[in-house]
Amino acid sequence: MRNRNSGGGPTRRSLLKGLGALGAVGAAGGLGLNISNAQVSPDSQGDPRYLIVLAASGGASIIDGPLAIRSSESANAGLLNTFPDQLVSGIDGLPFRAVDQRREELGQIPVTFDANQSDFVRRHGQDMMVSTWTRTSVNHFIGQRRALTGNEAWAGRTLQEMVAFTHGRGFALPNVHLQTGGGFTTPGTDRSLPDWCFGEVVSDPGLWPLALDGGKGLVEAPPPGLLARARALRNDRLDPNSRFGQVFGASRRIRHWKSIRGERQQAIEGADLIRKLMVRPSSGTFPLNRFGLNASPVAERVRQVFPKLEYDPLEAQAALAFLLLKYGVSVTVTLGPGGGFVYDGDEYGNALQSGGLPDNSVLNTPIAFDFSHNGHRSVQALMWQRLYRVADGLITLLKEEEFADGQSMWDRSMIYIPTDFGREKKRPDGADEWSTSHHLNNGVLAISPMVNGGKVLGGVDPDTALTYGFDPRTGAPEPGRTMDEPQIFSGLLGAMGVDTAGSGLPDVPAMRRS
Amino acid sequence: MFRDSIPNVFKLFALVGLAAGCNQSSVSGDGPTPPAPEPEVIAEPEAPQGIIASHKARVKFKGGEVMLRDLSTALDLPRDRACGELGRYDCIKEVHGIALGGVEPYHQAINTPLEVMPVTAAIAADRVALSTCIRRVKLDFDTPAEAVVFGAIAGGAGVPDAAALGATAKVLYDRILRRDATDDEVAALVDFHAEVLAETGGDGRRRWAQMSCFSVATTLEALFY
Repeated sequence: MRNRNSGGGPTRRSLLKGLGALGAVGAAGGLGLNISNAQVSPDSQGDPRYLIVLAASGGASIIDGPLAIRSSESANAGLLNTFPDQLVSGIDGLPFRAVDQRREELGQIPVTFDANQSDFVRRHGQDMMVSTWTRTSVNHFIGQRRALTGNEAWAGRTLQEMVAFTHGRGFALPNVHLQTGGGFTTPGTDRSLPDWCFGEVVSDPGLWPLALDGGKGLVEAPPPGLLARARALRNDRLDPNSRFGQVFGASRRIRHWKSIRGERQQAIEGADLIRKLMVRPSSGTFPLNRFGLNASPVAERVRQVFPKLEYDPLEAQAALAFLLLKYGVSVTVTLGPGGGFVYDGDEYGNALQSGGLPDNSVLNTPIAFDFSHNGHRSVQALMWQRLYRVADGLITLLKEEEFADGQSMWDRSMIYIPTDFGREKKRPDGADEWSTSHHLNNGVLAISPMVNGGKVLGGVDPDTALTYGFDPRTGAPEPGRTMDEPQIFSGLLGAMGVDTAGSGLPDVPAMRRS
Repeated sequence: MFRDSIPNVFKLFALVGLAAGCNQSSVSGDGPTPPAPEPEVIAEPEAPQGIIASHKARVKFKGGEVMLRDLSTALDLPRDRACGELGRYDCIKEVHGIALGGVEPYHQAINTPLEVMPVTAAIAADRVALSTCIRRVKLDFDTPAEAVVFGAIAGGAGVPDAAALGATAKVLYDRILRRDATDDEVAALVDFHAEVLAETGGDGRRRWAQMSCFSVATTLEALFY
């Protein structure tokens, strides 16, 4: 039984082609322009950058990943979160560590699994950048939000919103949130940004594409032209002339409704996104073909990279995230493991009677990284590997998509892995498994050709397991210094090409590739 | 005692307002500057003849569940069979509920309706209404003798006359919006039949029934209250 508890890159040429196609359906505004606000957003349509927020809910500890500490390096090895030397790899002269291990339990869950970090670091280490920081909250929701707003450093605008604002004008859905709930996807507090900067929520990546066309896929669906005429009847004659429309037409909610049922709706439908973004294949339980629909033209390739997308919510999110970027629908997507237990094996009962769950059958722990309360080392191992695998899949697909002039989409993309906070650094003397609480000190990983790759900015003191900061200009490590949330937020904005002039944010050129 | 304390409350609000203003100006700077947020009502609404526009204009979206329940009641369809995606997924509970203002706390941690109505909401509302209307039309046209809504045009042949179309328009308004249609509204729907013919050919009965129902069911008046 499988647990199903889930809930070509836009080159300049393809963008122009897309605009042309939209013109064919009368979307003169093109790709969802918010005309009233268009003048205030920079126009980077020919030169966009893409942000993938791969949210590590629950507290991804940086010293269980790229900053792992070897026991031989620490004067307090037995009392701190350090690893036996033989488990910790150094990769090709890079400053990152990778921990490969085989565990026989996942907290209290009886399952053996292999966790591998070295493959990812070996493949993508040149684009990895770890920045240390010290957080301001150990509350999950608040920590998550502050990881995306720099602790409200810029009027409460989120990283995704500012990337959408800078690069997303003209995209149908610039900012899409595939992970739901929690603090990584809450809207920013600056409502003066254009509406299209705020995140569009996708509650189920498999079913959501059905909301991208008013008629396709329905029994006896009307021809698009007839549907357009019926909408025009409603919008231009029935609503304006009704007493309700005349009395309440100035309502903010109604004006917003009118805006989303106009050009933006036409742009989405005209681009046939209901088919292009359909990640699930047609099947007996998902009979697309019977209703005149089909899976995305590139669904097969996507399924090769994310083969578990039909029952692993994170792979489904990643698959749709890629399609949103590839088809020029979005410039930023947010995804991440949820809090549900995801199991890929036989019936629980049968497995438990034979002594445990099948090897490698647990894909996601309950409450993601926060299951470290039950078993720190094993949970961090499984979940870091989970993030690395998804990141690797996205990088692989984006590298296959040409942007322009020999550049791939990956050359213009960043994967940012925010997390709530760090985890406690201490452990019972010599323990191989223990539980951890939340801790302010941590570091954060970004992967991109646009960041100062192959670098650890700051470092970790092996005798305390606490990270320390760096010079924001040069990146030189500075023991005794800590980096705060606005600094890292600003550094990420800089790498994404967001103009922060006048914002009051500190410049952190050390986080950008020079 | 209450009365005496009121001025102090105002003072407190004023102080909080000042503090908030100072705080915002200190952090936001003047980076890329979006336009100022629009007030709830941006302009003095023009008052059409005999109608006074609301200055507050406080309306709320019905939400997907209420929308579908209202429409299924209006069209005399069981709620659970009124709208399904791919023949098996409930339109609201499984597919469009979140976009249309619903919540799903247990698996998706969406504890409150989305703060910003998503772009897909308008498409989803259209889709739900269209699917439900198509279902009612199919039942009425398959068994005209038992027609609930479209009895005036379901059983005939050829291009329907204006009287039959007008009678059906009145039924749609009566059932969906719970009021009489105005003469203009009836005329608008009757006129629409010519557009259906232009688009699809044939007698246009079935398509007109579907799309008229859809048009009324997705008016602002049907979706907001």
